[in-house]
Amino acid sequence: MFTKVPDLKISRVDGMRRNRFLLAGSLTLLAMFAAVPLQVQAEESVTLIRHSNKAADYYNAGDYGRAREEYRIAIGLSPKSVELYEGLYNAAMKNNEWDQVAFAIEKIFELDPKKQPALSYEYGQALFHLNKYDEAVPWLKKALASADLPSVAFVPKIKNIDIVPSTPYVPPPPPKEEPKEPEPPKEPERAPETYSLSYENAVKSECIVIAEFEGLDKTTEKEASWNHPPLAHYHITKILKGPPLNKALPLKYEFHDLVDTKKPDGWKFSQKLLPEQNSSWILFIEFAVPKRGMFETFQGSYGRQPATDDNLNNLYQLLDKYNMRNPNS
Amino acid sequence: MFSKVIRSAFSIGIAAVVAAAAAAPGLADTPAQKRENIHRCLLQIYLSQRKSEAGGEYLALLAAKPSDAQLHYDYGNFLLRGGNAGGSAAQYQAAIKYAPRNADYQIGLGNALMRTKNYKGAVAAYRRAVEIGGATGSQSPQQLLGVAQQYVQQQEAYENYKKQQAENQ
Repeated sequence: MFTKVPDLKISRVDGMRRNRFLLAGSLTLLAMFAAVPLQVQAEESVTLIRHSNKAADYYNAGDYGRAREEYRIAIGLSPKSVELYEGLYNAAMKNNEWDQVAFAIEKIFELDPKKQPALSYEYGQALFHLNKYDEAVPWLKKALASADLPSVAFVPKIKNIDIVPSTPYVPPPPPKEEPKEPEPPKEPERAPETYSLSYENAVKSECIVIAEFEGLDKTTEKEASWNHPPLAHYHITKILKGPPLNKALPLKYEFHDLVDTKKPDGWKFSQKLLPEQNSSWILFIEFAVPKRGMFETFQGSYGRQPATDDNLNNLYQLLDKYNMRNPNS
Repeated sequence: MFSKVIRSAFSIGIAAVVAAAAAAPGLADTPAQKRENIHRCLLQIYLSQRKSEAGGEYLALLAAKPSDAQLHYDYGNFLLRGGNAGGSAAQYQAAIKYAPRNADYQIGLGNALMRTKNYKGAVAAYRRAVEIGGATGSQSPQQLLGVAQQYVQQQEAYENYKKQQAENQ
């Protein structure tokens, strides 16, 4: 009556074996999705620092309205930072925006209840100015009991000021001049300010991208040496500056920068010299045109920088400073 | 008429307290400034809720700032409103001590003295207010002086009548 279905007794293990390609593909996709939040997180933290620094700058310049706006944006990115709420309440207090003051202090109390005695005076005043008299009285009485506690003037913190200083630059005192014999002039191949290894110079490259390292080209890898860089494959995840290049990026993988080209003693090419697969990198491509099928990075190996928070922050600040950033990046 | 005057003086007093409290907030206040601001806030709250605790706040503020003429004047208005004419007269006199060229303070003193039936004293206070000029209340000091002088005349007439009656008996 019933026909026997072939392979009816397939076990789960058999099924997994048969569908191993499908499983492997799904796992790869999962891993890719898991990697995305990390990148998003890094970019969010860069944006957060940018907004909190802007807020601090506006606050120090006395533009409390804009400082308040920047603090609100930063709070949107990091809603559990007491420091940002402190900034918001101080900026709002300077503008007598009592609803904002009360909101910020309530959040501070929520996140750090130990701050209640220190802020009862400010909170009581905010409630008073909001005509919430019945709520204000207990806070004001509490504040009266702790009125002798010294008030600490708020100074907004500025992060990562070593690259692009948010505070006005004060030049160091000039060194004492000692008479020196003039050195014979050397003819530089390029203007000295264009070849030093710095982000300030690298950012002037035609194209800047964030890309993941996929590996070396197998044919060129065999012949790789100090002076014969192999071809590396990268996958572009974001183009920060320059033309819309193809996502698959062939790159000349230099082992040294172009300032110091001397080969170290005992140097030998090995896989250990290569970065981890799928690791994220900032690539400064000096000219957005490939030479012999490879793009070249700014000053050789210097043009490949790991996409860490600090590096991205420095890069974004410089791109913003020179207004070089692609509108969609 | 006098109750009208007292009411207007009282409302000016509240406005002064509000202005002082609104101007007060600061980020790095000293403990003394903090205390003053807190007392001013509490004072305004109690005044708006017509609570007797306002008197305590006035005293706290006066303890911190004994030579604040405006504060003595406001406290005088508060006491006068509460029916303590004697106490209010003392506060107005203290205000006049620290700011003798203020017509409003003289009018306040005149009002308090009218309540205590010291009409001659009130006439003297109103007259000083007329001389100084620049009163900000709703009633002009000339009008108040005229009313007080009528009271003095009535009082004298009554005293004369009483004296005559005593002599006839």
